[in-house]
Parts: sequence; C-alpha cells; structure tokens
Amino acid sequence: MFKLEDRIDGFNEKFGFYASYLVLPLIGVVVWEVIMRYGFNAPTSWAFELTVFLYGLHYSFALAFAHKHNTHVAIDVFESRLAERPRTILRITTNLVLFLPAIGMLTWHIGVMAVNSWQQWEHASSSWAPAIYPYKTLMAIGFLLFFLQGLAKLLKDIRSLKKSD
Amino acid sequence: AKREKFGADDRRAEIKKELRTIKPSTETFRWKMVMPWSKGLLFYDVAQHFADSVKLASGGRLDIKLFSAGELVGAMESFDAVSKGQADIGHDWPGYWKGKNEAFVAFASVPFGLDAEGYNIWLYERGGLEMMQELYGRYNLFALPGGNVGQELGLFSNKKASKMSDFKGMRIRTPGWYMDIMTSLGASVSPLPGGEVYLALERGVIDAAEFSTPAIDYPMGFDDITKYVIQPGVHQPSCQSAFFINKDSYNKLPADLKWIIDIAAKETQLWSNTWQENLNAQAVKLFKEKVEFVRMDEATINEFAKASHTYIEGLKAKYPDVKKVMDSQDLFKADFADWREERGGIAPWPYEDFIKGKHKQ
Amino acid sequence: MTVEVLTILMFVTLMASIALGHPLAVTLAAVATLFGLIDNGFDISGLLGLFANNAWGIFLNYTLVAIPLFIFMAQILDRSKVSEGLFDALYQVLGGLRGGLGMAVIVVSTVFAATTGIVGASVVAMGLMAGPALLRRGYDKALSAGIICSSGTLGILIPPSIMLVVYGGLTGQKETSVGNLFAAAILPGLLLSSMYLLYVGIRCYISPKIGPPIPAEDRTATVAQKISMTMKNFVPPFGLILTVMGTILAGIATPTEAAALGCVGALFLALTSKKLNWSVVTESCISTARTTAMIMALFVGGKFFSVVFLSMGGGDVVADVLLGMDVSPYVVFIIMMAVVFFMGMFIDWAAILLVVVPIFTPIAMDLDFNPLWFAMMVCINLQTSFLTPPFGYSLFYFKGVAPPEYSMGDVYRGIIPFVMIQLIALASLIMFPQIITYLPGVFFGN
Ligand code: NA
Ligand code: NA
Repeated sequence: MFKLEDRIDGFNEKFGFYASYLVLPLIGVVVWEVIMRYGFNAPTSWAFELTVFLYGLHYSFALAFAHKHNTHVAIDVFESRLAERPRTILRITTNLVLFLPAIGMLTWHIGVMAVNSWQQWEHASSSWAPAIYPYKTLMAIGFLLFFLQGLAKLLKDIRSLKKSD
Repeated sequence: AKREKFGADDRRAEIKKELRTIKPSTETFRWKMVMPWSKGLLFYDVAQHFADSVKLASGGRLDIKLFSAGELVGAMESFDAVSKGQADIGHDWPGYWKGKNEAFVAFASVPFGLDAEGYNIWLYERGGLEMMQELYGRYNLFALPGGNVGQELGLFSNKKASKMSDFKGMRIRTPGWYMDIMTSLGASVSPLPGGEVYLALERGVIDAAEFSTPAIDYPMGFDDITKYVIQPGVHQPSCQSAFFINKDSYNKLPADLKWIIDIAAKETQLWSNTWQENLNAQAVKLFKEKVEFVRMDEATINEFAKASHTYIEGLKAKYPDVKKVMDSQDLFKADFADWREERGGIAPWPYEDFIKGKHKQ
Repeated sequence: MTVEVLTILMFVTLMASIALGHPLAVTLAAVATLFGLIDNGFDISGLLGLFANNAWGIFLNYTLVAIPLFIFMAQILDRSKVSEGLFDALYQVLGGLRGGLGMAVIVVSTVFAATTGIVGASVVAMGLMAGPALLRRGYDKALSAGIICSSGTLGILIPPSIMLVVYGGLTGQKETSVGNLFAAAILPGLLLSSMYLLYVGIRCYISPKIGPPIPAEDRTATVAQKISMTMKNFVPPFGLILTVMGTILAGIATPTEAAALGCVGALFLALTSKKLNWSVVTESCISTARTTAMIMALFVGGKFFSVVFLSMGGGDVVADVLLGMDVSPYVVFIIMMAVVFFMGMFIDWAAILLVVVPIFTPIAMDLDFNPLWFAMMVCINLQTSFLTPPFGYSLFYFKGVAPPEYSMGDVYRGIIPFVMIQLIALASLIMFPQIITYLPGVFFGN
C-alpha cells in the first residue's frame, strides 16, 4: 500500500544520510585554504565562500533528517507524562498549529527568494563572484524536506489514532 | 550682444506649481531603517543624523527607527529587505551590491575616480542622481545620495612599499574592484571580512590592509599593529553612501514629507563630509604619532592608474550599465579639467607653507 | 494593542507554547510568525520575506561554520576513547587521596573540555566510565553524580565551545569575536574547575565516608609507571589543545580554521589509536549533521523571535523598564542575570542565548559594562543551566547512561552544591573582572 509518510521517511533517511557526509569536504576546503596560505603564500579567492556554502547546505539538508530522528530539542516533560492517546492528539494539534503553518509559509517564501535570485541572475559581490541562485534553491529544498517530514509525522499520528479507535 | 543670466536653479521651474499648492500634512509614519553598519561605525551616525533631521523637520511626523546590522536583517541582506518592503529605508555603500549589478560600485567609489566634490557635482548637476535612481529603481527602490566621508586611507602595512616591485607577492586585504586590480598587478589579495582584518594583520596572515577613512579606521587600532601607511588612498578617492527607500513606502508619503526627505538627505550629504573630513584630519595626526606615512612614487601611481583604467575599460566592455555610468563620470572629469587646471595652485595651506612654495592640492 | 502589552503577550505565549513539547526551534518561529503578523497588520509576504532573508543571512554566516566542525571533532574524539586512557592514569595517580577518584573525574573532564566544544560527550563518557567506578568504590551517589554532571558542563565553557561560537556569530562585534571569547573563557573555566576540586577535596577530607581513598592493593602502579602512564595519555589531548587553541591564540588561524585543523587532529588520534574506520566516520558524520541541524534550527527560530521582538519595539520596552529604574547598574545587571538563570531552569541554552542576548546586550552597553565581560557572565550562567533542575541537560545525559542505582533524586541533590559554586564563581567575577579580561588582553591586545 502506498503511504505518503513512508515515502517521505524513506527519502529523508537516504538524503540525510548522504548529505551528512558534506562535513568532510567542508573540513577539506578549510584545511586546503590554510595550507595554501601558509605553505604557498597563495590564499585562494574561492575557499572562503565555498566554506560558507558547504556549511549552509550541510545543516539545511539535515533539518528534516534531525526531525525524523527527533533530535530537535523540545521541552517534552509534560507531554511525556500524558497517556498515549491524548499525547498523540497533542502532537497532532501542535503540528497543525505550530509546525505546518510556520514552516510551510517559511518554506514558501524561501522558495520565492530563490526565484527572485534566478530572475536577477544573482551573483556574490566578491572577486570570485559565484552564482547565488543555486544555493538559495538548495536551501529552499532543505526547508521543503523539513516541512514534508512534519507532514509525515502528522499522517503517522493520525493513522495511529485511527488504529487505536 | 546682451548676455542672458548664466544658469538657473532647475528645480524652481519644476516646482513652481507645487509651491503654491503644498500643505503641511497631518498623517504620521514610522519607518524602519536597515544598514550594513554596526553601531560602533561612524556610518551609523550618518544614518542617524539623517533620521534625526527628518524627524526634526517633520515635527515627528516621519519617525525613522534605525536597526544596526543583524538586528532586523544581516548586513548584506539590507538591500533585498528594503526592496521587498520588509524595511522602509536603507543606508549603504552602494558597492556592496556589486553582485546585483557591477554599476553600483560606480556610485560608491572608483579607483582614481571622483572625490567628494566630484561626486556632489556629478550626482546633483551632471545626471548622476538620475542614473542612480534608474539603477536602484529597477529594484523597486528610490535612492538619494546619503553622505560622503571623504578619501580613504591607503594601506596599513608591515612592509614598506613605494615602488611597483614592492607590491609583487604582497599579501593584501582589499575588497571590490581594487581587489581585482591589485591581483592583476601581482599582489596576493584576499577579501577578508572587516571583523577579521585586525587579527589577520596582527599575526602576519596578511601584510597590508585597507579599511576606510582615517576617522573610521582610528578605533580599529591598525596603527598598533602595523608600521606604515602607504599613501595615497587611490583605491577610494572618496567614499559615497546612499539612502534607498522602498518605492511603496515612499509613494505613501504626502508631498511635504517627500521634500523633507530630499532636503534632509542633501543636508546629510553636506554635514557628513564636513564632520568626517574634520575628524579625518585629527585622526591622521594621531596615526602619525605611531606609524610612518609612506608615499608611493609617481611612476607607481601611474602604473596603478593604468591598471585601473584597463580594468574599468574591461568592465565597460562587459557591462553596458557600467559603461553608461563611467562614461558619464569620465565626461564630467574631462569637462571639469580646464577649470580644475586654472583654479589649481592655491590650495589653502597655512601662509607660512604657501610662501615657501607649497601650492598644489 | 500597545507595544507593552504585545511584548508581555509575546513572552507569555512563548512560555505556554514551549510547554506543549513541540521542537523549540519551531515553536520560536511560530510565535514569531504570529506576533510579527499582528505587529505588521498581517502582511504575510512582508514578514515571511524578512524571515527568508534572515535565514539566508544565517546560511552565509562564516563564524558559525565552526559549529559543525567542533561537533565533528568531538564525535571522532569520543569514539577514539581518549578520555578512558586519561581516567585510568589519574585513577592510579589521584586514587589514594580522600575524594581522589572524584578529583580525577574533574581533571579528566577539564582536559576533555579543552578538546571538545559540547557537553553531551563528556558527561556520557564519564557517566559510563566513572559512574560505575565511583559507585563501586563507595562514593556517595549524590556527590558522584554532582561531580560528573558539573565537570561535564565545562565542555561548553572552556574553549573550544560552540556556545561561544554562537555568541560570537550572533553579535558579530569585534569585542566579542570568537577569538576574544575563547581567550576570555580560559581562566573562568579553570577557576570553576579548581573550585570543584577544592570542594570535593575539602568535603571528602572532612567526611571520607562519601569519597573514600582507593585501597593501596588496587593501585599497583609504581611511581615510574604512573609518570609514564600520565605522560602517554596526556600527550594526545594536549597535542589537540595546542592545535586548536594554540593556532587561534597565536593568531595563525581563525576559530573556524582551527576547528577544521582540530578535526584533522582528532582523525589522526583515532587513526593512531586504531579506532578509525569507515563506520566510525559515518556515525560521526550522521550525529554531527543531526546535532548541527538542531542548533542551527534554534539559531533560525531564535533569530526570527528576536527580529520580531526588536522590530515591534519590545527591546525598547525592556530597556525602558530596566534603565528607567533609578538604581545602580549592577542591580540592573543582576536582574538580567537572574532572568537568564531562571530561563535556564526551563529552556535550552541556545534558545536563551538567541532570544535574550539581542535584547540585553544594548542595555549592558548603555550601562557601560565591558561587552566581553558581560558575554562571559551570560555564558557561565548558561553553562549553569545545564545543571539547574527541572530541565538540566547534563543531568538527563547522566541519568541516561549511569548505572540504575542512581535515582533522579540523587542527581538533583548532588547538583545543589555545584550550582552554589557556579553562583559563587559569578560573584567573584563581578569583583575580579580581570579574570575574564586578562587573557584577551595578553593574546589580542585590547
Ligand atoms: Na570546550
Ligand atoms: Na536548566
């Protein structure tokens, strides 16, 4: 049976897994810059910005992954004292009231920002002047996956509520 | 033949009708102003001065609240924030928006380009303002000149450099067009962010760095960690700022407040320059107690000028917007040359120096 | 609605929503969205455009690049078991003293703190290793829980520290640059560590029952062996400390670069101790990604909250109240510290830092407090928040890995004296601010 929440879970698990390796090239680029500067007296014009882009993608891509594994810190002491059913209802409520509207609207507007960047053919104001639009787009994708993960949690909670009926 | 009156205030013709019909408005407005400055930078004071002038002149009807870098949006995000109406007005150094359009740099500072007087004449009398408003206008912004803090100081350096060969392989921090120009001349240039310049300079990560004018540089304490200042600051003969206003916010204003903004921006342009240049003179005296001022020799300055010219011609060929603006500035420089020549030689040196033959600016 | 009412409502709504158990970062963003819309007349694209713009600003924040790097370094280090060797060595060296084993935990945690930027790893490692050892040796449960929990929190204060990186990235000012903050945190961190040692030493000297010495037959190492063990096990962490803190303080590298060098150093240590393989790297990458995402999500949510709060004039309301009182600046300061301490009982450090610092910093500047000193006081206060019930993360980490004999009551009781020590340390830093400002002056000359 096709279940949207399982598809989202599956995708975010894979995507988050591979994206978490981004920390390795991040280390590589920073160390490379230090070596070039001290070893060869030749600081690069690109390492600085590439470093920032890798860091930005690294955490944007992991937002959904962390949400799937409940790593985002929450004050769940009251929630955890509730019985299973009211707890699920509370989770559904907070998801509907807090998560979906806030993250949904945010994701949409990060998307709008990315579209604007494409329209302006935006480049950085540096000497290397890399294109900005791919990064704004990728950041929007990271937030979209985060939003979808919240949706998956909602669907799962609703299903488990139905099952317990 | 009888001669006509030589010149007239163009504004007068334009606004005769408005002068008959204008009324004081009663509606009040609260605006948010964003900027790339932290509170400690003198640029922040320039923005505050403008907001104060507007509030005073409007009797409080237009109240502009300042948000320093990061309070409402990050430093480099202020352009987009105002463009999209997330804030009503911004203050900047237009060169920061180079990534949007290279031509913004021409309204900020150009290597071997306009000084403060030059910017004033070019902007207000030679169509510069219209070009500026056209460029900002593409982003839903209404722009006005927003202060000029004068000539920047050259490089704070731990290497004494006055000849071209001294600059080869030197590790320098400078952003913008001059970064590319220095690179083309064999220096090793990095665009370190402002906050990291001090440490990098102190520990020898870089040999030399420029930041801004003497007064703005002074609190940074570069003189504590370097031995020389390599003059003159050819990379920025002056440093021009702008106010940029969201068009929707601007269009909501009644006529009297629009005029107050226009006049307060001009007042800020005047005040900032007098205030800053006076401070620059004091700061340079203080710097001279600690570091040696070195002058590049004439041949080297010529070479830098040549490289700058080649670079900017390249930009013109690549970017029509840069061509339009730089052609206009170049034409102004050429048209002004006769008068510059003729009026030269009586710079206001103290009498004692003048008598001894020190005449040139 | 007046700004005053809106300000109070915004905080009340935040507190109430936090209790619902939803991720804090999202709750902050949602409350910010609601109040931002109320404040701007429900201009959705205006507000959310501003948020998107801010999210992009955080994406480009070079200072914060150090966060994933320091976390990765800690993950690798944790898996290379550096602290185990250290503990074994100090077990032999200090074990004979009354409270000696407890002191060994403090020393190991302090050294470990200088190689790692987070709290969890240290408390978990010590909880697993020293928890059972202390119990077996007849240590008082409360005392031993207090020792492990409190000394573990030094990880986030003694540099490197992601808390200091977040602070530096948040203010973006020269006075509170990450380099300056790191230099400033060294002496206060060591002060706290010494105060813990002193307390454990005195307490166990008076009543050896709660922290007995280890019998001689269990400490078989000769003096020569002790020296060689200690040397051998101290070299790797000190090499790493030199790599990271040495390059920062000598100005060779920015904190971000030092963090990357530290990662390479940690990988090298893991390699030499034969603990490095692809699954260790993979596990480290995964937990780094998740922890970084958690902190950055809080950075984003906290940023939205403070943007809306400041934008609607809430900062001015708080400033008017605090600065309007006709009292000594230190009274205002103590009120601000009390607010941070109180919030620290309930909320995660990063959320407090991101919500409170933008509001309090301008007030502290208005009162002419040294920004670096103020930053450090806030950070020590937030380090304490790991210990303060009901929600002290250090206590939860410990309870999660400690032997089942430890009840939550033991942990809560054990932590009280150490929280008192934190407060005494804060008081002494008011009297002797040089403890904070001396080293930054030496290294960076301000
Ligand atoms: Na640490
Ligand atoms: Na707490």
